[in-house]
Amino acid sequence: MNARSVSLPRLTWPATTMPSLLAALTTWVALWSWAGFVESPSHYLLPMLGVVILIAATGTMLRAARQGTVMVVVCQLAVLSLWLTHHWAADAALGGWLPTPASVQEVFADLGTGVSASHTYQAPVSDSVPQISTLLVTAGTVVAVLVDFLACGLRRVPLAGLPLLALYTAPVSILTQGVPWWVFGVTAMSFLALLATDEGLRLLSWGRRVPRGDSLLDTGGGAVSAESIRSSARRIGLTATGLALVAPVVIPTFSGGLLPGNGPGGNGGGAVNISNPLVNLKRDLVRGRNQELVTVTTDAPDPSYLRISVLDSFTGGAWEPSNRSIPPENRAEGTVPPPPGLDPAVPRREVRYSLAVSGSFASTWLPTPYPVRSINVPGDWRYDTRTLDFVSADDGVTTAGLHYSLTALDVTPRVEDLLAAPAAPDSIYTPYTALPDNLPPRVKDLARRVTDGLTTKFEQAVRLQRWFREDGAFTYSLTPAAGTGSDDLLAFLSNGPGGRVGYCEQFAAAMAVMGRTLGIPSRVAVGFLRGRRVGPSTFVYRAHDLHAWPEMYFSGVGWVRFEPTPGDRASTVPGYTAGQADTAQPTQLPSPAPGSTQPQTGPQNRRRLDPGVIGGSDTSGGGGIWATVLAIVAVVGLLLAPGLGRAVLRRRRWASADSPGEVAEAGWREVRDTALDLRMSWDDSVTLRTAAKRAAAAFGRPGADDSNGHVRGGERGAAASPEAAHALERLVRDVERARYAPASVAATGRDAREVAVDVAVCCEALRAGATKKHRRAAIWLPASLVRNGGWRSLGLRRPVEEVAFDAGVDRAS
Amino acid sequence: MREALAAMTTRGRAFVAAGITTLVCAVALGQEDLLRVGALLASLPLLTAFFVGRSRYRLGLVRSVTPTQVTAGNEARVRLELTNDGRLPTGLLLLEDQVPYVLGSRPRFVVDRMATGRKRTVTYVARSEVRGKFTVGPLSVRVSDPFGLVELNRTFSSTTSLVVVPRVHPLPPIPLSGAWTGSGDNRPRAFATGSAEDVTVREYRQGDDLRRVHWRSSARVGELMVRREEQPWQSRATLFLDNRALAHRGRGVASSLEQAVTAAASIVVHLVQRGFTVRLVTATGEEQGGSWHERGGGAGETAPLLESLAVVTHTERRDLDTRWLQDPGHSGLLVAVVGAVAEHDTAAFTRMRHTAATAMAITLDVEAWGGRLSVPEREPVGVTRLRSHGWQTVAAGPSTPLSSAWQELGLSSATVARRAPGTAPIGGAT
Repeated sequence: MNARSVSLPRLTWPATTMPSLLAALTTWVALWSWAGFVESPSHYLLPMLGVVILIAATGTMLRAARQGTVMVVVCQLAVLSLWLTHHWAADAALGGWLPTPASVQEVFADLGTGVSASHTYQAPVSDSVPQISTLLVTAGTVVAVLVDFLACGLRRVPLAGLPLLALYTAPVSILTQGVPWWVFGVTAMSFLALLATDEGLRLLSWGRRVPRGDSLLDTGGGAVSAESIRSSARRIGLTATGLALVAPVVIPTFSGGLLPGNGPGGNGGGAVNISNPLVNLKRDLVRGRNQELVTVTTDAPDPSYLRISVLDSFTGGAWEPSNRSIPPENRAEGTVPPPPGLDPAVPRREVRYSLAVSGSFASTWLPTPYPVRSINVPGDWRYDTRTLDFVSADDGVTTAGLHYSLTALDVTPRVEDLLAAPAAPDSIYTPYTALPDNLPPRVKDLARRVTDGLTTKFEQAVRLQRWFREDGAFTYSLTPAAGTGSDDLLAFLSNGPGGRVGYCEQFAAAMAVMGRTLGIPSRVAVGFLRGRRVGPSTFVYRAHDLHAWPEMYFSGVGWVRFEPTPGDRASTVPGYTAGQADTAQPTQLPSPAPGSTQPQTGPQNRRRLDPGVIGGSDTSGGGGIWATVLAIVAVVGLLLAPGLGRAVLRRRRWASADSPGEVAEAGWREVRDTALDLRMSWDDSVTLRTAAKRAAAAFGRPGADDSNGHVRGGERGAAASPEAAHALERLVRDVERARYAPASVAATGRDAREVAVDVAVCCEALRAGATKKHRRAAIWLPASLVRNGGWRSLGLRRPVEEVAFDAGVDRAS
Repeated sequence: MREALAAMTTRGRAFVAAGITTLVCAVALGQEDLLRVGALLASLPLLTAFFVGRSRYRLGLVRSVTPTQVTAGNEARVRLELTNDGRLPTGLLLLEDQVPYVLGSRPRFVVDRMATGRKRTVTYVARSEVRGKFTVGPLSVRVSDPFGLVELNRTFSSTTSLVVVPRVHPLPPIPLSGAWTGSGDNRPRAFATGSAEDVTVREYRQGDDLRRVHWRSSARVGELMVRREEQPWQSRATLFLDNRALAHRGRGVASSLEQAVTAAASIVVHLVQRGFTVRLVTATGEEQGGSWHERGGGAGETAPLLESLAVVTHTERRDLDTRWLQDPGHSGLLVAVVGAVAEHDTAAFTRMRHTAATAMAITLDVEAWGGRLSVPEREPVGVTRLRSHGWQTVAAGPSTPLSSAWQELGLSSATVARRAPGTAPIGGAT
């Protein structure tokens, strides 16, 4: 089986040459499924091409030299380490190739960076982190060696499918858009080719080969081509791959998943498990391409701070959206309740917005300004009265490609109102100042220290904002890992190395937490910072405009936003916090990260809606029923079509026969077609009488057959149905006359009805002689429609045996 | 299709199971990419089963073995002629002929695609060191599938038998007497032509001389009858082989029974070549229904006897079946190949001796097969017993060449014949 059994004293191509090449190809093609991980797939695919070629070449050579399986793997790993060292750490390596401790360290450092980058960044990871391809190549190399070892070393190709499957499922679980279908198709076909090649080798070495040559000489061990294996492998493989490719279309999946995500525990009716938009914020920010996500047309002079969601619950691990209560009456149609805490006396004006969300921005949260006065959105979007953010209540409905319009309030809080704000009501105070018990006391101490000497909550909040922006020596950077947990905050707030560096997420989260420690109801909002003006009243929000900011509650004004993120990101602070009314802001923002990338935004949402609350949400039944009915009609039509076609043909045949000669011919053709329908062999090249004799041999006794359709004993042949035999005889005579003595037909020709009766008798006898299966086939799939001569290609068994078995001949079928 | 599904290999079943599991997981988790994997895994074995089950091969097989009777250690060629009677070309066929393991490993063939009506011939060599009648076949056809997921075996029904006869050693001519003249060979004598009273007729066969037509008989029978030119007088010999288990030692090929069978085969061939009509008798009675072997001329006539010897196995019975002694016309030469002769056997051997004109025996020194190491000076007790009952006998051990034992037997026969010409040599032991 293995290369050794072909023991020739010289080096030959081992039997596994072709499999190892195919294994290399399969691995490499499967690696294309990782293309979504990085911006430039070629950065890892090209090295991987070298890797798989090296593996295949080394493996083939060593197997040709009949080395042991383990030896082959060791040598492959050695060669790969040389090559990869040269590729990655040539400067630290000995002579550019040999690994040294320094080069190994370098590679491992790269790997470490790659791992942390994979944790930090959302796919696709930008080119700014080249180490990610080091990680991918390393992982791919492991898979490739494993595949080669299993498929060619151990000759266990199905097992080699497991590492390939693992390789393939990695992006399936990580990337939301999954793997392109063609990657799957090519990988599957390549793998099947590998399987078939290996199995072909196995089959060919099964026994002595008898080549195709028809010579009587037994040459023994000649060349038996595996072509017949390959051709059937192609047929089966292509069919299976095709089926697999269309499977997602045919088999519905539960798009959101049957298993609910583990969001915050439900607290009664209307509980919604919601994803946290903060999770992907940084990834969106550092992603290469600055994708345009939302286009806003408004009469507001500067539509900034477009909110997506509110994170109102701090668990100690992270800021998260709490459970939303979204009963059906909270549907985003028409007027929205007034924002909590906003006193009617506060100056405001209504601003109209018209928003268009790009198709690549698939969020289950609706980008809206705050606070919304009235809104009209297609689809089942609902709001929560406390947070006034909008969430999709319908499974699978996202903002992608959504157009909607709304009216918002442009509130201008007066500083004096804020300063004089009384204590927040308990319904606000208790939930929005809740902090986990394990919050380090340092945070509170720090907040106290920063706001030392200030009495009003508003002053404290403003001081906090200033501390973050100016006094605290914070640096804006996208480098730190994402995270808003207590430990992350502590690290962020600490003065040591690595401390006080962060981006909007940290600033907003830290300020909200510190606000809560001071007794100010606080929460974090996530959204777009500021759009870019592209028209007179049109603004475009992009991926890099994503932002997080704290909102704090002051009675009489409601939720007021702050801006703790330093000026190089958010250049201005809200007017009321700066003590001035001037809110003119620059519209240009520096792009935080270079590069370009593929769009992929929007948290993946896992929601579980209480059916009692959202009972009437399923309204999309009407079109579906019609489609189903149409589909059923089409299927039934397709099923019936062959049989109907046959019936039409039969009728037309009789109708078109005018003269007695034509009638006879029509009758004969009808008998022939019936025989063909019943999958009997029918040779048009033999004489009428021979054909009739053969047909008569297949006669059965009408009515005596249903008990056992396939056990046909002595009940067959002309004796089974003498009247049919006579009818056939008469018919043959008619046809012969019509063909060879047309002159006499006019005189002696029988009536068309008589012929039809004869034909009917014959056909009945033929049907009685056929198996049930063939009778069914004759009704549903009449072969005579397809064939005029050869139904051979379908390989169906003939009921008529024409070969008499010789005494010494044995047959197996 | 159902058959093919049932014929799914472990790999195929594993694929289906893995595929269905993946499918269920993919549907539950909503992963379309996993769904593809599951669909591929699950559909591959099912499709293979469908395609393999759909392929209906009609194959014809003609099997021949040449020669059908072969001496142990020699080769017979088995020839399989495979024809594709179906209307479709076959795929790659894996053939395995089921032969007993003593004939060697089961021959396997990979037969390339055969177009309709095409014929392939494969031959292989069967060879056995052990005598016996072996069934060659039936041939099983494995329908291959390209992924090793389905294994469909179909089996032809025809078998052929291959008879491996015991080895035959050439024996030197020794004086044998079917009669009691003791005057040399007793050859069949030509029938004197012209004695019309004595005429025997047989049916006319193609090639017979017309002058030999016996018109009177032809008129009576209504068919052409011809005179026989030869008198069907026969020199008859009976070969007795003691195949009782208790008379022999050793097991399998190395047993004394095998040696006895070899000796019997050699003697049979020798006697037939000498012109005797030989019948074979064993401890269980007469082989081949008791008829004297018809002389046909040539070496081929030994074939049925050798075939009987090929399948002789030891029997568990204790006493000898001597009913054959009651048949008329068995007198003549009696040659026995015996193992241990027990006390209670002597009566049977005495009766045998009395019914035969000449009784010769090769007595195997069975203890030598039974693991006894040293060669005794004394002859085996069987020799003494037989000799005391009038047999001419010699002892033969495992290392005694058969030809020399036979030669010795001839010498003792001559001695006996000289000493007591014309009389039954009762008590002629030395």
